[in-house]
Amino acid sequence: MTYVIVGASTGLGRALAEKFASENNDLIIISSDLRDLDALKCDLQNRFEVKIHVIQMSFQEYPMDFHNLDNVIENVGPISGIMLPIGFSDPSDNPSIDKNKMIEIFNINLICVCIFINRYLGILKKNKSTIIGFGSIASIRGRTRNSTYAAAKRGLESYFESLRHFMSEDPVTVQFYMLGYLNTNLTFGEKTIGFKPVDVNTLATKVYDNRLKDFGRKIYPSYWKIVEIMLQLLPWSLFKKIKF
Amino acid sequence: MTTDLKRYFKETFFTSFDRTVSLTTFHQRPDRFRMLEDKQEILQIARGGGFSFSPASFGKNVLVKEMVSFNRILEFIESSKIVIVEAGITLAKLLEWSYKKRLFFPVQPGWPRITVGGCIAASAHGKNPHKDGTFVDHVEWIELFHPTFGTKIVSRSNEAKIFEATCGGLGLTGIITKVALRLRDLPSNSLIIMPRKAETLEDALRIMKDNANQDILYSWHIGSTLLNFGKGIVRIGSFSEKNNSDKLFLPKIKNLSSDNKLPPFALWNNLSSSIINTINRKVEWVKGDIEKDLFSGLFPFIDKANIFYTLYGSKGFNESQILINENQSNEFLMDLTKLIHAEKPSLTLLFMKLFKGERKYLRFSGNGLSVTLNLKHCSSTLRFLEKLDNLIISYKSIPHIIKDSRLSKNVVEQCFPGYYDFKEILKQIDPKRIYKSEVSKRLDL
Repeated sequence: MTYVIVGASTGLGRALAEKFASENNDLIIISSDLRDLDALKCDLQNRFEVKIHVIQMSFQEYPMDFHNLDNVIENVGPISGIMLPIGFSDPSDNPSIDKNKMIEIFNINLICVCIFINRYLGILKKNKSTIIGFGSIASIRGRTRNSTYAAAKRGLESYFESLRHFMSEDPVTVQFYMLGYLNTNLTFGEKTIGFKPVDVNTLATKVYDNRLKDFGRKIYPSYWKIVEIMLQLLPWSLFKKIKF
Repeated sequence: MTTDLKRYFKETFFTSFDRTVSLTTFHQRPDRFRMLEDKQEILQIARGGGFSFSPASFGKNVLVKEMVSFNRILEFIESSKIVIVEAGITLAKLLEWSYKKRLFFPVQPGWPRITVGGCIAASAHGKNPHKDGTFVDHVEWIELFHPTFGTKIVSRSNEAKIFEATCGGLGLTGIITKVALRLRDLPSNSLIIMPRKAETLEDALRIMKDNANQDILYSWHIGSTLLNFGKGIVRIGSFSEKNNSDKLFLPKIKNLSSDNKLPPFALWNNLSSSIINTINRKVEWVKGDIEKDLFSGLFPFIDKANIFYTLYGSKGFNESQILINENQSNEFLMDLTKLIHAEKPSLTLLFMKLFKGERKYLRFSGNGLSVTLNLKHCSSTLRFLEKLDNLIISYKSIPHIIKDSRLSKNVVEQCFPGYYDFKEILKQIDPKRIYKSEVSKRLDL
């Protein structure tokens, strides 16, 4: 079995790559930095004796260059799944953010992700497969901070909802994880308003175990469900005072 | 620091493992090469597992670069049994992988979560340094990063001075990024540990000399002068001839951390340590020879270390490890015993190991006997250690810099003939001296 992981070199992507490789799956790992990918490839091949293909690809700009990935996919045989634990936020992100930065955030978190999935839908439909997307609790309710990021992630959530609907007659499982704070460099040094960032390896194991389940959308860790409900019920007069 | 990289750091409260030095400084956990190899020349130091007894991996206004994400196995050359790894790999991860290939790294220091980079910077040693040498003796080459020269490979044949200074160099020559290690065939999946009673330190030394080439060889002794001082056990171990299991038993390791919640006072004192250690000695002796799986045999303290260090309380402990020249071992042990009886420090345990190796720069290596003293941190201990410093100097012995958080520049200068040469090398490769820690500041390095 071969899985494609976008954003595999660090954080959750790397944890997913390690987990899926440890379960004897071949991988196509994608990231913007070839050195990071090559190191991960060597490690996974040495430890688990699986085949790893690396693709350097940027999600910052459209059009994207699919040439190398197309070649690899053509040669590896059926694809069992695509995971897209990719995300980018910026400390200056608020509604007055620089235009180019805004486009970059939308590209990485939404537009290029959708275009990527769109390109390989035909291949995925041919076999039993899984598409797994990752959103953020930041998109539960829009606020000043991370406004572009939250909008992109909310858009992605909607896209995955549609994708699941569109693929309901096909052998394709579509899953979308809404993630709370994870213990990665994105939260390193960030204020996490009292929530302890969770271990990415634990999440990777859950993703692996649940990869064939048709649950649609899942919030992880599950206690964020309560936060989601509370935030949605919070009256505007109080919500507008939130500073985090 | 670029804005992009500045984003990924925070201020963290660091504590040395012996808990005698604490401070808040900048902290970064690079997880990609461009973050690790930031070319800006700011004060920084690499940090591995964070188990150094002294504050060698942090310093005031020094950016701590935690290397845990750089823990990958990059290449294995089967014909020469050389494995190339990133410096942040832990001994446990390396052992787990090498075990499947029926190989192992012959020098295994005491804690499985310490990193290869940390072992090199600290010049760590294993269970019988007389037979296997120290960690760096099995290192083929090191890839070192420094903002002024980028990355370079150093070895005994290429940039030998930098290589030698990096081995035991406390991380001050740059960031160790990759390492080539020479592995050995794993003789068996288990070890036979044979405890031998020692009535005195000298007795233990004699037993160890008689068993110098065993796979595992060290002794532990009661440190309290109240009861049974010097009595101990010599642990002699060898690989079993049977292969009992194909799977490596990897227990869940509780986090051994200086940040654990601790009682505000020490439960170790001369009375408690003499009673507990007398019982432990009796129990170990009665149990006799035991067969241990590889992991438990190589890391015998993982189940007890948490309790042992917790009993020192929040004030912590002091450790002093000394390497005495071969021909002076007996004489030193007599003088040490006299000093301990005179000062009656709150000494919990003593450990001894035979050593063989080459002494270079600040590296803890050489031919002789290593004696480790583990003491409660208090004013009487500090007074005792000052007197011990004089004894070390008079015997032309060396202290283990990484173990002792209070060693002065004066002592290190007098004990290490290579002190000034080491400083000179640092000046050459790091003229702006950007790699610093509390230890380097204390020792004026």
